[in-house]
Amino acid sequence: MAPVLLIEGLSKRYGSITVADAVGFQVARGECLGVIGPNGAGKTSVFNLIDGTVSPDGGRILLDGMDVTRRPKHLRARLGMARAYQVPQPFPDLSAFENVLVATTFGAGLSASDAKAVARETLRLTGLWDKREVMAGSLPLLDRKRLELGRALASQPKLLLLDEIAGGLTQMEVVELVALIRSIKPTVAMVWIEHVTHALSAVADRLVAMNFGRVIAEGEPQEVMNSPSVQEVYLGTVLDAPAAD
Amino acid sequence: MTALRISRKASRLRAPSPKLVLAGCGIAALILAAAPLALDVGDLRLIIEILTVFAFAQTWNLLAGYAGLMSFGQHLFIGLGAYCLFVISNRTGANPFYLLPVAFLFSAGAAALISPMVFRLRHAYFAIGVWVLAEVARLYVSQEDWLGSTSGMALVATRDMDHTWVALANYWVAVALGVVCTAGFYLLLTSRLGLALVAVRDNESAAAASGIDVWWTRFYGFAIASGVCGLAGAAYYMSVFHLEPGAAFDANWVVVMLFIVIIGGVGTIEGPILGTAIYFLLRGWLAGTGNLYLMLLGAAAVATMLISPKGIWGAVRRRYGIEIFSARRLAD
Ligand SMILES: Nc1ncnc2c1ncn2[C@@H]1O[C@H](COP(=O)(O)OP(=O)(O)OP(=O)(O)O)[C@@H](O)[C@H]1O
Ligand SMILES: [Mg+2]
Repeated sequence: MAPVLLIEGLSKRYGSITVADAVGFQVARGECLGVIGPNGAGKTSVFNLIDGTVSPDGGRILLDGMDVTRRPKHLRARLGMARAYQVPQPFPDLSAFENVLVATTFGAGLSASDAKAVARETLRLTGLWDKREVMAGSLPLLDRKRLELGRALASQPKLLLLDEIAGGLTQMEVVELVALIRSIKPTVAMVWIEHVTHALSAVADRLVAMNFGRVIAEGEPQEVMNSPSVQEVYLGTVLDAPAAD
Repeated sequence: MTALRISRKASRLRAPSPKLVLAGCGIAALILAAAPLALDVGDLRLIIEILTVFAFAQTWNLLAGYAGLMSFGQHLFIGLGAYCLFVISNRTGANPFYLLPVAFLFSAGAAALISPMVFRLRHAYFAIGVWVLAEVARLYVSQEDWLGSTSGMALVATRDMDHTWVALANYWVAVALGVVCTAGFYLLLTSRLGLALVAVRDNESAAAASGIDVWWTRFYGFAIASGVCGLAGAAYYMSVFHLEPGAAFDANWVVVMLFIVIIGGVGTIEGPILGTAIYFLLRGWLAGTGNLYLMLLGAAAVATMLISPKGIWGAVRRRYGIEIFSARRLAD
């Protein structure tokens, strides 16, 4: 099957720092690609290139076979990309419901009544129903992270980009999150950046490991975790520990 | 239980249904429209001025509070709308009342034309950029004889019309403008474009990530607000029959808009209504105090900003949880 997302040779430099160095991978529908790597490895930077927040110095991004490398961010969103940001990006003066409604209205492009229905469904799914009328700006961090995921899901994407959505969750919450992600997985192509590797292992079909803006290993999760290059990067750190940030 | 406590602040703001709000606007408009039965010409002049200033303020509120665009140059559109109406009417002899839609289109079109340039500027640079254009327009008009140069021009067409009817028509136009700037803006804010506007205002990058075209959303907000501002300018100067560049392109208009929106509450429809009332009360009390008047207005605005950044209506809303014109989309 043709991949939903294919990136090739993606590169980006800021002065002397190379945040992405010829990064390439692909993901198909129903598949979850996990991305690991130490802080500052360039994982979030690759998401910025994929979703159009930042334009690359080189390389190509294909969404469902269409070259979107030069397409603006909002068009990529309408074409089926959605992203849960590492640092939640809510609309602070809109309620939780309205936040999700923006995604169903403009991202998914639904009619007014469908947009409301899907937004309600999403809030129930992400455990935010009781706080539906609370302004997003006054939600605690954990709820903002739920909302971030909710907004991404609500735009009914083909490609779901998840950036550290499990950080800071309790064991129980991670179990719930994993169940939720698994239930969505068959309908989307997913790229999931995560430091909480046991959560990632429970869902990811393949892993990509990054360091200094480069892909240093790719393949089966166990194979990648055990590869010498990855072990070397993580030497002295416990792979499973949630990130400090 | 925590949800309940949070709800005091944010959830369940009590707001009447849109139908009730629109019905209320309709009744208020009817009462205002019938007011000439009981009032004399001087009262009508004052109400025209109040409604005009309210319309100006509301368009500024639409820009700053909903489109996230702070402009210090909105007097540009007051002048453009007014000159458009005067020039066309005087040259062609057309009935100026029929030219009001043209004044709207002309001002909105001017906003559309300058958008590619001024949208490159952000925040304070945008605010000042539009102001500079307003100054340029004023200087240009002041030097052109066909535009009446510094002494301006008088409206010819209404001279031969029945003066009572002209006064009444001007008054009703102002009432209609007041309705557009409350009920009309309210409907706009509950629309799709309204949702896009507030999303862009709140978080530009997240709005784009949700599929909203940020540039075009701002563009529509700017064009609509500036178009209505120009329409209000055209209607106002039509009612005073005379126009000159120093008055039409006067930055003081923006000062008044800012004052009203800040005092009343930015980002709410109620705010400018309240702010307009306060402005005219203060103006009445402080009449004849010269510069002291401006200083007191400034002091009042600064005090409001410090005590309640969302203005008086913002404080009332937070304290009592009431809203009249609520564009909130409720989950159920
Ligand atoms: N706009 C920018 N200008 C300069 N350097 C940048 C910029 N954005 C990111 N960087 C640098 O790029 C590197 C990669 O950052 P990135 O956020 O992609 O890492 P990450 O792998 O997501 O890390 P983490 O696990 O901490 O989230 C960092 O060293 C960061 O400081
Ligand atoms: Mg990151």
